[in-house]
Amino acid sequence: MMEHVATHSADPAQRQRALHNLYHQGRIRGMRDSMNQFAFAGLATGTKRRTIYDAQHGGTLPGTLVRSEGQAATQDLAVNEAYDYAGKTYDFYMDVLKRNSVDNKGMRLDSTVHYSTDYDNAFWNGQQMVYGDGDGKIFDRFTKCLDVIGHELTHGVTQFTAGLDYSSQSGALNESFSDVFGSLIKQYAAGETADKADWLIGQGLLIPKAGTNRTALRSMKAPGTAYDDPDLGKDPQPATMKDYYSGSDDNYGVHINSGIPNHAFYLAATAIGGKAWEVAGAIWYETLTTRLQLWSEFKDAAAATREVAGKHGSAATKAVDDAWKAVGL
Amino acid sequence: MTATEPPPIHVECQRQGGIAFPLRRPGISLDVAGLGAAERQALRRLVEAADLAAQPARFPGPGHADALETILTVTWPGHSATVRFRDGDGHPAPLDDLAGWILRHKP
Repeated sequence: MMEHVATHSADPAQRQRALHNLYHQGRIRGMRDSMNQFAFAGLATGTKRRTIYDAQHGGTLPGTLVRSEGQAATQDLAVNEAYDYAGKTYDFYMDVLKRNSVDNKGMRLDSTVHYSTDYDNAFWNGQQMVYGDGDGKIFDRFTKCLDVIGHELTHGVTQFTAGLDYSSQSGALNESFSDVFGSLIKQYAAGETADKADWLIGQGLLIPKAGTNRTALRSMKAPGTAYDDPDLGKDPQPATMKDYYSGSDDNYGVHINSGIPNHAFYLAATAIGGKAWEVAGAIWYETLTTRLQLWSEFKDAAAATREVAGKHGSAATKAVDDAWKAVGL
Repeated sequence: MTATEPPPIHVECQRQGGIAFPLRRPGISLDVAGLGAAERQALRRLVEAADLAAQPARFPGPGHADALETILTVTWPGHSATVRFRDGDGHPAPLDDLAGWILRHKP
């Protein structure tokens, strides 16, 4: 389609934009293809493969290769965090869920750090992770939190499984699964049981300020309490369907209404007890990878997890059922 | 206005969305008149390269999960242009360059 616009559009500016986009897309594809051909020749499928690039504050991806699998730590904290936490995420999926990387085919985990300037974000672009350094006033560096890196890589898992469309309830489920597994990856790395976990997402990412609450980005235990600050606003996440957000902001509330399934998972996991990844995590993972699809809604996730929970005994079945009822589903 | 006075251009940059979506982020706005000569020149080159008037008001690409949205506005005497774009929606790189420059010059 882009080729058609570049050659046939009557608007010269549109032709120019299409050509520009084709050039950049081709460059990224070309770089990835050539890297794939030689960078990790000899490594078997199923081997953990991480590469970290440095965008040097520019917007070109992937940037300059600065660390590959097996290489020693560098002097750059962001590089080492991106490498280490991608490794912990890979280990969680492989050891706990028997999943071989985000695509279950041993996909290399590419990350770019120092992206853009004052870039207050991390995202999965469909092929790789991208991290900004934060502005140093509100946000710290985005490689800082293991659960944030687990969250982003789980968007990759969702992309290769349910494919949940990033809008409205399917988008909120997409976000929620990323929070659930981001939190579980953090709990697994710390060896924490459900009752000891903080159930916060991005704890420490917001730079503290006296007299304000900048605890985290989200709380699965108590949605709506993660931050409250005159500059940043108040965490608007609902915990139950009673407070469901029905506006159009945020792709129709993907980061807002995710509080509802997040809280359901927290309630189920703490009711089941023990290590949350063992039973509750297994139920949610089977649901994500085998029961949901592009347009699934909250009721579909609730029905699927209730059904899958049946494989884990009556206590798990009751805990999952009670959890969804408590949030209004 | 004399020949030596800087043009009365005003630029604004607001970012929102991303993994921390609901959290409010402050917008940055700058008057060209308040900048030194070298910075005015640099900004002028970036504004020309970004060519906001030739961009769509909103890029239609799907963007990515947790993509950050940037809203850029440049106001000249008598008119203004605003462009919204997100990570991964296919927008041209000079828009990022202009946004980055404005954000680096926040008061």
